[in-house]
Amino acid sequence: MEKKITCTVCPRGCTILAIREGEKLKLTGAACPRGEAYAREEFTDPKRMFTSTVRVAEGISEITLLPVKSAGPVPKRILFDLAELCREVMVTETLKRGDVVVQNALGCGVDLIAGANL
Amino acid sequence: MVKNPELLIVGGGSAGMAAALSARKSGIQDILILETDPYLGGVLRQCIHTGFGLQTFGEDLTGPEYAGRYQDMMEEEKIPYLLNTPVLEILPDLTVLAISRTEGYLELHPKAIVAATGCRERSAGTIAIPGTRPAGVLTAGTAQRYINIEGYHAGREVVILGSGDIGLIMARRLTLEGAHVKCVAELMPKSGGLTRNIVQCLEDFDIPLLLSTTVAEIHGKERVTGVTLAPVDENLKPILEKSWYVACDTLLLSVGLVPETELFSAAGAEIERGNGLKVDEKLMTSIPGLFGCGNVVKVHDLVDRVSRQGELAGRYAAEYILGGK
Repeated sequence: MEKKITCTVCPRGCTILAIREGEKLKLTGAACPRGEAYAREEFTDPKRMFTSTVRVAEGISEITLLPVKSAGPVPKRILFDLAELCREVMVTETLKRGDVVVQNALGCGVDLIAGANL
Repeated sequence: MVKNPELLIVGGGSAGMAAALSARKSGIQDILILETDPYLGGVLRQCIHTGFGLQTFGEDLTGPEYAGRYQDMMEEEKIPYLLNTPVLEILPDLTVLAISRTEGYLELHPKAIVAATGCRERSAGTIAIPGTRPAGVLTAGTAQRYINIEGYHAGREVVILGSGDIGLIMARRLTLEGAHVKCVAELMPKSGGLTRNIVQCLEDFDIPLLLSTTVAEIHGKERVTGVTLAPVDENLKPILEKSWYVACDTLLLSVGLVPETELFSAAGAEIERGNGLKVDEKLMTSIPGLFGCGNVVKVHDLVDRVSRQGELAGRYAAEYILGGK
């Protein structure tokens, strides 16, 4: 199996070719080790930051939608599920920036945290 | 009762807040920010994606987080501001006329002004797409505001014209919210967006990027029913013989930003060729005592640079006021 990966570590945007040969992963085209590490992860289990909004119950704040983000990168394959989850969440307390909105979202090990003060 | 501030800042976004903080640090006690929106932070508030603050804070923050950090600093320094307060007019002698929801009509006479009004998006009218004018044609930033601040959907079947970063970011956001983004068309042979956004906003969701392609016509009477896409020749003219039809209910435009200079040019401030406020090496416009910073001077790629320029403008405005005593 092989995959062409555009590196997003820096604006140079190397095209890295990843080829699986048995147990080993062969990487060509990366200009630096950070790019290689990125390509390795991108090939095996790509991760992304996730951001969205959740609704705020009436009477809590003038803000009706609270921006949220994942506290760290999450597996790319669960982005749609996280978006679905955010459509279900309703905040009912006065959260501050950085407070946890959803703990261990969908069991992925990463929290969703508030991006603004209510 | 609002009293005359020494320094008045027009706009409470990233440039204005940075200018206020740095003017305070440079010894100006008496500062007032006038903000037309009901919140500080400007466009940052609707930019819920990450990518902000790598230079300023050494962290990858969302827009609201970046704005929030500055708001905290403003609270700490107790810098006064008025929300819901659009400035109506500025006169060449630095008289500022504004209308505030809480304070009523204001006539202020500051010793210096910092222009920090940011920029606005090019709209459908400015790029002259042929066809009808149905509902469903909106700028990417307007769609962003609907979705991220007001909680409305922008559309179901979407075509995006323009592959600048706002267009790319909105392609991902709409997709995650259940819309079908059919394609992003880009007039130029290359996208103006960051590689990271091309990968994470388009490739991740299999959204085609059509280079050297434009919208040749908009269809629909009440609501958009589709657009005609066409490749362009080397003079960027659509090749209509090769055009094709794409059904959609929404067309998003991400076709560039224009500095919001009207208030200041009406006062007589000179405009630079690139449409921003013309400023000297101390960020002063052609009107003595009127300084400019951020996207009203030049549209910046990074908010961190807007904040830097805001800091400089705040300092120079402070020097101007203190030197005049």
